This record gives sequence, C-alpha cells and structure tokens, in this order.
Amino acid sequence: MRLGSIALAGEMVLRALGRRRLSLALLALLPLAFFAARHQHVGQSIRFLVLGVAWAVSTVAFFAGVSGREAERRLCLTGSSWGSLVAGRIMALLGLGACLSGGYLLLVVMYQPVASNAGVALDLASTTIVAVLLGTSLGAILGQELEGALLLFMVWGLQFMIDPASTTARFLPFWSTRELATHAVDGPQAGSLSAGLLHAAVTSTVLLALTASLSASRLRTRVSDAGRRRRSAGRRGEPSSSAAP
Amino acid sequence: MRPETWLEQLSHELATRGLTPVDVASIVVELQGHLTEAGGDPLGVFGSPAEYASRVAASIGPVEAPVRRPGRPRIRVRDLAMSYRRRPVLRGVSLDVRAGEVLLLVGPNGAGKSTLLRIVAGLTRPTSGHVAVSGPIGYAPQSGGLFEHLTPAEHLVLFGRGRGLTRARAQREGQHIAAQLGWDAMSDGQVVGELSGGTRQKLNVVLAGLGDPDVLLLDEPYQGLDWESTRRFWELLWAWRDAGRAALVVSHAHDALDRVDAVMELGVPSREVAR
Amino acid sequence: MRDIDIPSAWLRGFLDVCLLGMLRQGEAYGYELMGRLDEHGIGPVPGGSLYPALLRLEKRGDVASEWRAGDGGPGRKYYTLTAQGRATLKLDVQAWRAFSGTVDALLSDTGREVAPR
Repeated sequence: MRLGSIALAGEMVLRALGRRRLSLALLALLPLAFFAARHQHVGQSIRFLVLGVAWAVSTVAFFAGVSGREAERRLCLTGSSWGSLVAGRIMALLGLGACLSGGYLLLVVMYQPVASNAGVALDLASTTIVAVLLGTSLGAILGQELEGALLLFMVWGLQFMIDPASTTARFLPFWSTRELATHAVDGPQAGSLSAGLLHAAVTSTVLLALTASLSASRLRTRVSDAGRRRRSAGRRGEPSSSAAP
Repeated sequence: MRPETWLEQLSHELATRGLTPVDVASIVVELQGHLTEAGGDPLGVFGSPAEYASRVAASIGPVEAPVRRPGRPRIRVRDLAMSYRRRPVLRGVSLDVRAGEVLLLVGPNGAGKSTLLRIVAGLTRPTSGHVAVSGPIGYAPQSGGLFEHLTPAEHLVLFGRGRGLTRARAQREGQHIAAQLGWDAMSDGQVVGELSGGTRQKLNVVLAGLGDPDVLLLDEPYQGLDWESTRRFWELLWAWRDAGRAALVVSHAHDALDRVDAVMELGVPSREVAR
Repeated sequence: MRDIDIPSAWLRGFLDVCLLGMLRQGEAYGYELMGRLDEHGIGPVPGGSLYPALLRLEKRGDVASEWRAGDGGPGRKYYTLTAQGRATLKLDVQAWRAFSGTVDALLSDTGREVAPR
C-alpha cells in the first residue's frame, strides 16, 4: 500500500463523483433543509443539521463504494492493492465530507452561534468520520444499490425515531452525533463530551474493521496475491516464481 | 539515372513492399558498393527500382514461414468443475495454453465459457480442480468491469498503476495499443458510461494489454466492432502472440475459428476440437 | 565458351547452384562473385538477378553473410557457404550429374539420324 497509489485512488473517486453534479448538489442541500426546518430552536436545528450532514455523507460514501465494485475487483486483478483502493476512497470521501462540514460550520457560526462553536466543529468532524465509514462498510456488505439504500433508510428512520435517552439508542451509529451536539449547545452538564467521543471512536473502529475484512475477502484474488509477491520479489532482486494456487 | 537517385527510390520501393528498415539499409549499402566498383548506369545494371524491389521481395518473401514453436504452458487447467447454485456449469475441463499460442473457446450459450475465463483470471473460485497461471494476466470481460463515471484516459492511469506504470507511461502505452485498434483513447473526453459498446470493448482490450502481460484472457473482445476494427484486433492479437504471450479467447464469431492456433469446445464432454 | 550464347532461361535455373559452387571455392562479396562467374564463362549475370539470388540462398540458410569494413568506402557484404549449403550443393551436384547424363544421352540419340525405312 503506497502513498502514491492511495492518492491516485482518491483522485479517481473524486473525479468520478465530481461528474455527478446534480446528485452532489442535492445531497449537499439536504442538511440545509433539515436546518431550515428547525431553525427556530437552536438545539434542534444544530442536531438536525449535523444529522443531515451525516445522512448526506453516508449516502455518498455508500454509492461511491457500490458503483465501482466490479471494476475494483478487476483492478485488483492487474495488481492494484485492495488496501490502497479502499483507503483512497475513504480519504476522498473524508475530504468531501470535510468540505461539506466546513461550509455548514460557517453557516452555524454566522447564523446560529452557540456556546461552543468548537464543540459543533468537533461534532461535525466525528460525525463525518462515522458517516464515511458507515457508508463504506454498507457498500462492502451489500453490493446492490436498492438494498443498501433501504438499509440506510432503516438506520436513519431508527436514528430519528428511537428515544436518544434509551439504551437501544447507543447501538445506533450516530448516537455520538446527538450527544456531542447537545454538549455544544447546552453545555457539559447536558451532554457528555467523553461519552460522545468514545462512542464515535468505537463505532469508527468497528466499521473500519468491518470494511477492511469484507473488502479484503472480496477483492483479494489468487492472482493479485501472486502478482504482489512477484513485484516485491522483483524489487528485492530475487527471481520470481510462477504463480500457482 | 544517378546512383543516389536510384538507390533512394529503391529504398522507398523496398519499404512499401514491407521490408524492415534494417533489411532495406543492408540491401541499399550492398548495392551502393557494387555500383561504386562496377560503375555504370543502375538502370542498366539492375533495372528499374520498382522491378528490382519486386524481385527482392519475391526472393525474401514467403519462402518458408519460420516455424513458430509454442513455448512452455502458461495456463494449465486440470479437471475443472464449477457449479452454481447446485447447477453444474463446468465439468471435467482440462486445457493447456502455451506461450505464443491462441486458444479459442467456443460452445453454446450458457456452456460456461465466461465462467471458465473468470476462474482462470482468479475472479471466481472453482468447485474443484486445479488452475495454474504463470505470469501477469490481462483480463478483458465481456461487459462491466469499468468505471462508468471515468474517462478512458483515467482508466489507463488507474489500471497502469496496478502494473507499476507511471501516469505518463500508462497513457503512452495505452494510446499506442489503442492506435493499433484505430482508436484515439486520449481524445475521448466522454466517460465510459457514454461510450458505444464497441468503444468500450476496445478500451477493455487496451486495458488487458497494458503493462505487457504474459497471459491474455479475452471474453468476446470484438463483439460490436466493425469489420475494420475486427481486422485490426486480430492483427494486434497475432502480434501479441508472436511476441510470446498466451491468449485464451472466447468468441461466437465464425471467422475466429481460422485465425487461432487451437479450438476448444465447451458444453460437450470437453475435448480439444483441433490444434 | 564465350562465343556460344547460353540461353538466359538456363542461367536463371542454375544460378543458385552456380553460386553455391562458386562459394565453395571461398567466400566472396557480390561484385567479386559476378567477376568470378564471368571468368568461368557463366555470364554476364545481371546484377538484378545476382543479389536477389544471394538473398534467397541466405534466407534458405545455405549461405551466411558478414559485413566487413571496406577500404575507404561502405563495408562489403561477404557470403560464405554454410554446412547446410555444402550439403545442398552435394545433392545438387549429384542431381546435376544424373540430369545432365540423361539429357546428354537423349540428345545423342536424337542427334543420330534415323535411317529412312
């Protein structure tokens, strides 16, 4: 997994996504719609804004993962490392999410400043990370667009419906989003910074591990392994053996 | 006629008759020496440049085509079986493809040709049997396997990277192969999703050939190509074969049968039809 | 033998064999071969026939060529007989002897006038 390969994979994901301008525009405006719907109530508007960002980012991440599935497999056949492809994709999506978050942070600071703008920034950052990993892992689990979209809807539906105070809510991926938003708006007594960050960290780790293991099993082929062996043998100057299972 | 003029015309005439630049130079220098020693009018000594070139071409021409001896096996399949949802798709398939050889896979629809290719490529695991491939593989699927929202040029860079090619080299090599198919890969600003089926197949073939693989696996590579492009495809494949690559090709087209070294029919208890 | 015109068709047929025979005496370059053949009464061989014939022989493997640096000019291409060429020549000589013997006999027979019945 080399830096250049990761950067190239990321570049190509951005190029491909960049061509789908209408979809990107719609997804970018989703959080705004949420924000506007609740803009009278400071706490709720922030919470729904960030949740909107999470939804938009995870959707983009999911579809980015699904659209190139077959091609990525073929790419690994020619010797690309699956790790570079996945890492590049994640990096690109994080970049996109960062841009979106940055824009909305600006919105919040200008129109709806709260006690802790830094807290909002932190919430946006951790949410972006979890969203990217959620979308990517869903893309790795389900190769189909419709099934994945439905699963995403389910997650979102539950996220909005389930009472955040209940224990079940902690099993949802974006519990931390709500917690950190509450912390930013209402202060440390209402929302726990450490609990929120811990939840985000654990969720991210689980999703990343899921993504890695699923991608590895799907993208690793007999030949790509042999190809890498041969290439590294060539780099060390050893004679390469012919591939055989 | 002055010797220089005669020799110049001869160079041209020899080149148009298909002689390599090395051969042309060799012949011209030899005759130049002769004319220097013997003197005289080249037209009188040798005849017209065109006539002479024809005689040389006839001499060098198809004397005996150098016998191509296929090299060691690059693909080895033994007793391959594949079942999909308990329905057997492949049964007891064995084959060898050597370096410098093209094997054509034929058979009725659903006989498992594409599946066999995918197994050899390493994309699918067989139910049982043994597959061994020696050397890097270039695989061109019948459909899919491309990024719908990227341009051909971007594909070249991505796939080239897997082969260890820099951006510039991948584009150069890819453009070179594409040119042999009569296609300008870099000029297409369109994304793959907007390309015609024939152009997509050309891209698939180019991507398969990128980076000098030893083994080529081509699934319906010229489906959707016009007559001229088909001809170019075969010339390209023959050039690859003569360079020592092994190729396994799936095709329905009738004209493919005469253009390959060996044919294998699936769908009947697998056996080689002709070699 | 110079005063007798050898039909060019015969020359064309036997040029390859004559060249092989000539090269058995030692290596030579094109112009030199031309001269040698002429000395033996076979000729003049037009340059337009000589070099293509040499190329043909080289392609078949009966003859090998080597470039040598020339004295103050472009190099010269020297031709030598290969082992295969030597074998070919031997067979050709046998064939020629058999052939010429048959033709000779035929011509002597037809030369004799048949007494009218």
